[in-house]
Amino acid sequence: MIARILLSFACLALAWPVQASSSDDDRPNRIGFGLGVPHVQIREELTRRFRWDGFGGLLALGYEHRGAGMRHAASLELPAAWVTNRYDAGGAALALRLDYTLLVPVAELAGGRLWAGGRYRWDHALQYFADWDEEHLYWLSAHELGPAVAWELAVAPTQSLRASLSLPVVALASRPPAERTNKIDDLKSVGFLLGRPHEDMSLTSLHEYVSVEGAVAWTWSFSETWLLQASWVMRYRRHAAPLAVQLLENALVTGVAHDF
Amino acid sequence: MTSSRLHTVALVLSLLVLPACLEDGPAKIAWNDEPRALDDGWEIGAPEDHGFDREKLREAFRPFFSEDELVPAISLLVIRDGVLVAEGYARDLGDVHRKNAIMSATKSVTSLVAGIAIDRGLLDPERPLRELLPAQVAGLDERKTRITLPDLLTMRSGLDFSNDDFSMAMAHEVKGDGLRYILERPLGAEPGTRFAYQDCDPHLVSGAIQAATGKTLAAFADETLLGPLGIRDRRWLAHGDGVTYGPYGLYLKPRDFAKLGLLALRGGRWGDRQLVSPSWMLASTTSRVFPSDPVSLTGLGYGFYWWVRPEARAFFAWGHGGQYLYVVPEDDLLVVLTAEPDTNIDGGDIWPEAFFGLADRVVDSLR
Repeated sequence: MIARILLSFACLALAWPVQASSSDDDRPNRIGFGLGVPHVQIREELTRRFRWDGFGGLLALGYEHRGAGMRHAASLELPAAWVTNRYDAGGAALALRLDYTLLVPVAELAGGRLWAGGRYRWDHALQYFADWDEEHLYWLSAHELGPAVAWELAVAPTQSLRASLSLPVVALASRPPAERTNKIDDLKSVGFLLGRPHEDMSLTSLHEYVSVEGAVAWTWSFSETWLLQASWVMRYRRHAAPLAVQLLENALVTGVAHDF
Repeated sequence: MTSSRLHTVALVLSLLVLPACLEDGPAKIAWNDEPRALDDGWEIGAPEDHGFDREKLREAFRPFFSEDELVPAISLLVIRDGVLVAEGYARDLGDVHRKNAIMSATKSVTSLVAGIAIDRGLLDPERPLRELLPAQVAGLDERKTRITLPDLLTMRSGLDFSNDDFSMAMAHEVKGDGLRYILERPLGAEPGTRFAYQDCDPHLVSGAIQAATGKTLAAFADETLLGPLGIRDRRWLAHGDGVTYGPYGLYLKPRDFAKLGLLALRGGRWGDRQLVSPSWMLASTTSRVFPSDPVSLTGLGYGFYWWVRPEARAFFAWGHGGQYLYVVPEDDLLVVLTAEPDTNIDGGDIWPEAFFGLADRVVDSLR
């Protein structure tokens, strides 16, 4: 486990020495706001071996510092979806994602620039499947750390494409216990929704927890400081304990950003 | 631009393919209906040695293993002449060792324990709440102090505390004396006049048993009922004030749950011990009220926390989701079903009308 932590920091360290050949020094800061439509799939074996899926909405807020030799980005995402299974049972899938990414340029690649670095993310996914007499919350909450890469390509003077990938290698993750008594979850309490999943965090890695995110984004600068962005993001997460859960999300997100 | 077109194609393909990625697995496992010999006190036998047509009995199990019927079902046990002749597990063979919430079937266990306390002279069914729970009714509406044990055992306390609110309120909002909190609820009807299926009534019975015996319902049950039946691996939830939940909260393995049904089938006798008096068993499994809401319950009677099905000369314990002990004394037959309590996931609860379809097939498979 410690070796994996060291490996992730080694990835970051290897990325440091390479410097960028150009910069965004004039307006290095970017804030953005986006709305999206996620399609969420869940297979939570603590309930059944069924697939649940459905569409929802997503709110995204972001900040990025675009320095010549380094980029820092922080974002907040709040997706929510109504998912159903083959028996037309419904449930809510909510999440809170907060992340910080640090990237440095490492190479020119295929006409674009390759950035590499690391990312920390808190991904707090909650699922609630309603019932008249029995209510339980299910969750996969994780504080992830791992390498991230991005490749950017200018496709026109005002347009660019960006593809990114991240693969956390170590995480503090939490899952519900395998056996819970009825009437135990205080679902009306926001404190419960945020706090309970943090009670049983344990250090984990790829043997138990897999998380991968890929994204493709298109950006169009429609004025000197304003940009329009559209992206597709795919996220997959799996935790093996105490029984397997898998979450797969595909989201189309569009929004505006402002450079300053 | 060729590059961007490639990305666009990749994006569209991904969006088309990825939504189908996660597997939608089966609800049930492969057919299994032969009891395994375990060292748990159960005698195992062949169905045909106990009057069953094996093929018909097998047909009775069909909906239990169906992906579309009785979806929340976990276990199905058939016991005749005191012998376990058929036993299936729909989700996991390991469920034979797993405790499951029997939900409101707990009420029938509470009834058995109340009967034991009465049989032993510890609890007087004629005494009202002002004598059974004097501290909890002190200063309250005088009508509440006149509520009797039979009122509580037949869901006729008159208290207005809907089951839609009870369980979550008791688990998370009610601090301190839960019995007092229940008794402070308004009266929706005069005590003893109106049937309303409410969890608050059996919880008051639990409080009365605790007050009368000096032990919690769970502890007294361990000593007088569950222990003698050989049921040691159980869980029984309690309110924060320590009072065992009387209406629900008991977790049992399927075979241990079945022992309670066999005890009821035997009129309260277990081996050479009469754990519950025959008179209490008869009293508690005789219809005293006839619920009509919802309509699907029309035709059923209700005794002291046991449901009665007069048309089939059967009585049964029933818990949310699909927990049943179905007793047919004339056929010396017991049918036991357990199910997941989180039933909406499977498209709904196994209500009596669906369960009766299964139970009637089992009865019809008798030669």
